[in-house]
Amino acid sequence: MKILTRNIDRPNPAHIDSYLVNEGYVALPRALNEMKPEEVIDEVKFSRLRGRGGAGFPAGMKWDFASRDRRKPKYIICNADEGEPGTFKDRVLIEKDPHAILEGMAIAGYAVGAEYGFIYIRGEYPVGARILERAIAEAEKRSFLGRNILNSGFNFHIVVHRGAGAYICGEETALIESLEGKRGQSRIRPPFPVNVGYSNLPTVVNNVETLASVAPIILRGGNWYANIGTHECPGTKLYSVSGHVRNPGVYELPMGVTLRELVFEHAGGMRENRTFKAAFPGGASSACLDESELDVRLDFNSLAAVGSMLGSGAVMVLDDTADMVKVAHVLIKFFEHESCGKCTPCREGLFWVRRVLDAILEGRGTEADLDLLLDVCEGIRSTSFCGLGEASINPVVSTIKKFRHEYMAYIRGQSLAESSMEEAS
Amino acid sequence: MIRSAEIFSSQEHRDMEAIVARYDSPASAILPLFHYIQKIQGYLSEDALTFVAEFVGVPHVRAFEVATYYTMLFTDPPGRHLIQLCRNLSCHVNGAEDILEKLKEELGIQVGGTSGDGLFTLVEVECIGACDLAPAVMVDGDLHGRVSADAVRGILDSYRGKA
Ligand SMILES: Cc1cc2nc3c(=O)[nH]c(=O)nc-3n(C[C@H](O)[C@H](O)[C@H](O)COP(=O)(O)O)c2cc1C
Ligand code: SF4
Ligand code: FES
Repeated sequence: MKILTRNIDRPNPAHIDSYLVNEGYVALPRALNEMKPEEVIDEVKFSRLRGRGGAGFPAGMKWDFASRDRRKPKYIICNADEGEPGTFKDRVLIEKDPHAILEGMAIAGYAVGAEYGFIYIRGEYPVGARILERAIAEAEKRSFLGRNILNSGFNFHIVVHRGAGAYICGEETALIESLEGKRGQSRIRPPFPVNVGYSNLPTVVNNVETLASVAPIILRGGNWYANIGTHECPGTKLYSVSGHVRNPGVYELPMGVTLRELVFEHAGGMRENRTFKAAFPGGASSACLDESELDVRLDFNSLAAVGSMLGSGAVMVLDDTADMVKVAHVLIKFFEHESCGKCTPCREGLFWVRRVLDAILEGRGTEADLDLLLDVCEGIRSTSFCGLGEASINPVVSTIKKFRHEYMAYIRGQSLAESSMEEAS
Repeated sequence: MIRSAEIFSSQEHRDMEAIVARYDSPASAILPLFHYIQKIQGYLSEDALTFVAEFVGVPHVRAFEVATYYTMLFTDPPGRHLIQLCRNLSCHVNGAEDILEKLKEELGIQVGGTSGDGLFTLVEVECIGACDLAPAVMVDGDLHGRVSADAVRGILDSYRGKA
């Protein structure tokens, strides 16, 4: 089922004419001419669309909060920071279907009463930023953006704003700080951006994929959308699949596809003569799944039920050649590097977790270190100021729980085979 | 007081005014101005920081804080071409370490260093959203995917010719 990826295989897909062929910019005039802002919000509520940036918050509800706040001006921010390791689906939408994002933003603006939009795009996507700027110019020329859009009296302006290399700026309050020309560090929530956002004014922050889902919902109706995927998590999802699969790439599938189907039927399965070992279903921030969990459904609720998370839908797949201790080390180094330094548990804790992993990898570890790691990780999880710290420990904790024998092999200075035999005896 | 004329042409000055005009709040233009200046001057000099702070009306320390917070901003001049090697998971398990070794060998530098001829600076970065093309390397704005150790020299050569 192609909703989000309906345009990406066209020749010159980013051009406005390619977008217009397939009912592009039909939803926007329909909303402006035939619907009240409240009706647009209701339609998105009926769809039960949940945010695709990681947290899965209902988009209609977020818009409702922002629309009820009477202060002006209001802002729509498209979160195109796409920093979660393993995620590259927003890049595909940005480069191949930028107008779908712009149309979704304009509809969101009309719904909540915002005249300004920003697209905060990570600095590492210079090509995407140029494509978005070109698309905005095209849309302004044809009066889909700018002043008095299609003579409706509604104005909506979009500015592309490039980040400069900081994962934390994907977190919505850090993003807003960064957009205000500060160091990108998280703010305390509440208050939430819907009331106190950019310049302390009402601001809707939505992920690229969330916004790209809006025009199809307005065109076909919320009920149509709500019937795709699972009841709790409707719609299609863009899964970014990478790692050791034969065909890494972005796959659009109804929410709730199983890990097995995604890996073996869509992503081409494992490389030759290799077997599945583990997968991180929601990027570096998620707990890994092992072979016994291949039939878990990849949606917000199902993954939460097994102690992991869907996050951005970044599925990183590992085969039997993967060394899970090294994997945990790579991921913890990432979080250590990206910690914004504002709070102690995350800043100091991640440093120590990494140091203990260094020691284990260098053969200086003890079995007691594993309990120490779990203990420190729990401290980081429960006391960190923002989501980065909270989720950062998931790869370490889950690999210790599910692949303890690999840690033990390092600790005993044995090969994995020897160590496993000892465990078994 | 840094007079803009000392470090920017009048065209550049107009470009920067246009950047500030995009925002209700001038301070929001700090990052875009930094990107702009870094593109034309290669890095953010002390004078550039002072200029930006005055241009948007914030204390100098604020410009300094921002410039040193983000990994893509440089307050010291890097080599002419910036090589960013992804070290995150999907690249790691697809051979990023071999590429790192090859790059270090070809350039005779460590991570963070600049080659003797001033042409290349090598840095490691986190996932650059090209995991489907792992292992991935970005040189300046260009993405190179599915890079093998054998391909490294060819990639470097293709930049050696360029200004
Ligand atoms: C550390 C961290 C990084 C995040 N990175 C991103 C990101 O790159 N892109 C994104 O859309 N959301 C990211 N989020 C989630 C945002 O804070 C926010 O929930 C989201 O942009 C809201 O949009 P949505 O409701 O459409 O998902 C991140 C959250 C955390 C805690
Ligand atoms: S948890 Fe980490 S990233 Fe979040 S505020 Fe604390 S130090 Fe910064
Ligand atoms: S892990 Fe290297 S580009 Fe994503």
